[in-house]
Amino acid sequence: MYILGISCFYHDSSAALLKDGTIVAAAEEERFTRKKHDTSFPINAVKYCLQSQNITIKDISYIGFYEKPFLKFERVLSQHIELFPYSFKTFVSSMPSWINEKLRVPKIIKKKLSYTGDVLFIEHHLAHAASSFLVSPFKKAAILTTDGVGEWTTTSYGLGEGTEIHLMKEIRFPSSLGLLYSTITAYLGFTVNNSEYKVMGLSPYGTMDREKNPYYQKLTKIIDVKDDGSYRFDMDYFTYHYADRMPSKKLCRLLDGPIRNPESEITQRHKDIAAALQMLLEDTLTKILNHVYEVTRCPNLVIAGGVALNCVYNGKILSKTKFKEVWIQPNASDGGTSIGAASYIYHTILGNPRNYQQKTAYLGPEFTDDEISYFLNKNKIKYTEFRDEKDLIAKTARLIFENNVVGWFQGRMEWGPRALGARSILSNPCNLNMQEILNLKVKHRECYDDKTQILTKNGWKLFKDLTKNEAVATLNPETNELVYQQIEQKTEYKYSGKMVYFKNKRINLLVTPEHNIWAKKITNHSDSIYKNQFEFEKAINLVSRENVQIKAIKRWKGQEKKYFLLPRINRKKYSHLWQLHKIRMDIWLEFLGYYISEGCFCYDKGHHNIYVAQSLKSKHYEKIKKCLNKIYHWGYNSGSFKLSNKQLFEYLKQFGKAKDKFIPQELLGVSERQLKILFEALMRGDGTYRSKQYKYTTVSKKLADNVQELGLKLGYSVTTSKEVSNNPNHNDVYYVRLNKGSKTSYIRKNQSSLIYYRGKVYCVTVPKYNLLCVKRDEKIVFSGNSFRPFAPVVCEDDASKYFECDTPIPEATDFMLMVYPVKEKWRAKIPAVTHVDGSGRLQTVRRFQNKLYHDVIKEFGKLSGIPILINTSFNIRGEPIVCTPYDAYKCMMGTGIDYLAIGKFLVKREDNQNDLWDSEIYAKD
Amino acid sequence: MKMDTLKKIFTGFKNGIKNFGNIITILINTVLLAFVYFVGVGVSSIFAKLSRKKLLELKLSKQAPTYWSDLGLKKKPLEDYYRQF
Repeated sequence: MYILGISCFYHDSSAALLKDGTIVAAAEEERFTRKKHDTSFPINAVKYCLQSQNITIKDISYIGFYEKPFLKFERVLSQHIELFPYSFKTFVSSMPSWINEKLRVPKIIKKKLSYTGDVLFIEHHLAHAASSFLVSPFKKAAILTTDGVGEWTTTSYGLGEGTEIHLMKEIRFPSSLGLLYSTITAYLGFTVNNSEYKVMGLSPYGTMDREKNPYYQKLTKIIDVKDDGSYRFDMDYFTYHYADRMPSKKLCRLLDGPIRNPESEITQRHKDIAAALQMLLEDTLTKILNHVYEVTRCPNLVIAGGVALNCVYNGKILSKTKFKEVWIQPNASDGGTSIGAASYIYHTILGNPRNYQQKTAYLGPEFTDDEISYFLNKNKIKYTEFRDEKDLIAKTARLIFENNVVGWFQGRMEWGPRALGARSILSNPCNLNMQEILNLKVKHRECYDDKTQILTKNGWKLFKDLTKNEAVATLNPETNELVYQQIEQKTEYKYSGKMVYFKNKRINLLVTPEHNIWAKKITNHSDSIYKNQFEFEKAINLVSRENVQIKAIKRWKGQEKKYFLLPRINRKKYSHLWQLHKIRMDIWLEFLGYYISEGCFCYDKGHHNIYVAQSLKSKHYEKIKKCLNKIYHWGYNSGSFKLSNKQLFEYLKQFGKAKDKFIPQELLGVSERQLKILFEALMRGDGTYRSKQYKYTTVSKKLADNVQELGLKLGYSVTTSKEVSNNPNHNDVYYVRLNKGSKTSYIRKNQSSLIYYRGKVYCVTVPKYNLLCVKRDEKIVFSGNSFRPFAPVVCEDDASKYFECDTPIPEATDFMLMVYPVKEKWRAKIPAVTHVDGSGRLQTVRRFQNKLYHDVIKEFGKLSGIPILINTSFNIRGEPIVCTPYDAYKCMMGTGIDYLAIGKFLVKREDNQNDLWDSEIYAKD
Repeated sequence: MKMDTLKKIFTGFKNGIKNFGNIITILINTVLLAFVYFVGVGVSSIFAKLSRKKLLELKLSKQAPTYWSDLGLKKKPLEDYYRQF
């Protein structure tokens, strides 16, 4: 008997097929449509399920749907009635999908699948409970389901025994732990239903002490948790029950600030909020689980629902509660309910005994070696063939050990959100730089081309010339202040493929498609609650779209300096001379401004002459004269002030002739007020002011760079142009234009494009504020960078050597659902997978689950001494995990993966540089 | 060259018509749904408020011993699962 389970129209559509109680196929629709969290009817997933068993829809006895749509609609209507008229906007936006899809499920199923059989509707939390209990190793287990919301239920508990499930109690909408987590996720500027794991990952960076974390107490005001773990929210702090925005103004006030701009600077406050939320969730879940244990008196526990993906808490369940064993569905969120619906029909409704335990998550499509070689040959991809499995294991382990990044495409695709060794990227965790390499090279984070320069404390530099501990200029997006930070890591790698090119009169930027641009999208319609605010946006998403980028800062906090110390000259020889040593900085800066613009020196028959040119008729004559005479007594002759002074001459000599002039870097670090003195003096010399814009003219490239930096720190939007001289005896002329009117640049639709680039790309990481001050073709702009940690995979028998796991290790660890501390002595040896709090979200592998994967890890252990690999999902940021050989190959060529071990074949990226499926194709997607 | 120009004009026209259609759809939907909302939902809301019917629990209840409510969800007759409610 075949039973098909379906979940769709909310998030993560999926289909699962049961054959006589055994799950024979299951997949999420996103893997086929390549749309992350695809909500549409899972037609492709259903087709795959049927094809995998060589059956048609006529062979299906029942179809199970993962919820009762009318019950859910009742809840939605209740919301609108209760919150009339505030819910008008969501009513208008949500009703069309209810009318067209959600209330017509049987018709849609029958129409899309040409199905004429029975469709059964299983309550949402019952489907969750079944997805976990009926495929677990337990005959009897306590059950906890907790997610955003089903029909009415948000949390429920009960008992499963044999084929029966009894959900006893519930917490009803609008109080929901899942929605609380999502609300804070939205408050912290992350995407709801997608980035909750980021908040979980952020929490260890905050204060994990209930007494010291100020937000823990504040968050307890919004939720009342009873001793039995039951809870209710004060809904004044939320708006999700009537609006598309989740946190209310009252919540913003409680948390001391507005909703964070997505991916702008994450401050300690944000980290503390994430920590407080995680602690609150853990405390509440612990109370619930202790209560569930008291009620059920059963040592086994199964959990399901989106909250069950909180692997940080999962790793603590056995130590914090009385349960002895725990099992979690690998696809614990809504995607997994298709398995639950099908299993519930087969076992509970139809009364068939349980004969299946879910031991692996490999339920998706697989491709035979023949199919793979057909794909490779058809597309003329160069590859080599492993002799046998031993050869595959040995070579792959060796490649990883030699610090190559290997795409691993073997067997059936994983079920659920994690890559578990069928569609994974594997690399060496012992390499200190691997974290950076993966973040920037493979995950295609932020990168600039080789002509981009970055502002450092030592002036403008090409990325390739940056030294290890260089301090670079970054922008604090909250205050728009320029801040220097020491770089943590610099990354460079070869890249060939499409780059995004922004070019107009004021901006020239060439970056990788995944690069984060700090931009404000220009849009006439509202599709975001963050509209009209600056936010990070992938460069690829801004191609042919109007946007605004930041060119200038608001504030620069330099160091106010009282004096300039003019170096003394050899005292013995010139002991008769009076030497000026300590000069007031304000006067010196003004003087230097005049000298750099208008001055020169000349040694003439024992006279060390210094000149500052200025016509008597000049409107600045008196001002310059006054300044000069504050230091020395200058004469005036033939249109120039003149001074003969050995000490000053010796100092000014370093500035050379006109084409060599510069501003000493240490003087560019003084306060904004003092920089202004220097700036004004420079402008009185070689500057002009017209149409609200300064123009500074110089033949010195270095001085032009210095004036750019000076202008930038004073809040000007700066661009420089160059006039190339045709006469070899004349110098090129640089015009630095400084405008205070606009701190941004408007980029039109036709001012961004994709161009092919082949060469090195660069980036750096900094501790905070992921906004670097860069320029290309002398046009300054602020643009992004980023960073993310990775997860370890270890064989089950080695896990307790490296991690402080529960004993025996719960099977849920095989699905990467548990976080455990890395043992102290190993932390420094596997830095790429050790989180800031010393923990790791590990995956354990048992040989019967995935022989090849297991043996590669063991083989790597023989080479490195540590049998652990980095395992990250085989995808590019923003895309689902790869499904087919085409997806894998495309991902490889679009990223920096060095090798692809696909079936019994090995594809080397370098051998296929000009291949059809390179990143150029990716960029078009 | 002429064909290209014609194609561009035709495509532009087609897109224009499509956008116009979308705008009309949104307008009609909004008008109809606004009517349903203010008449249907609005009137129901007024009645609910007059009869002091609480459809959602929006406030804390510190005195309540527990917030758990009975669910009692277990196996039902097969016919019940054919229903969407």
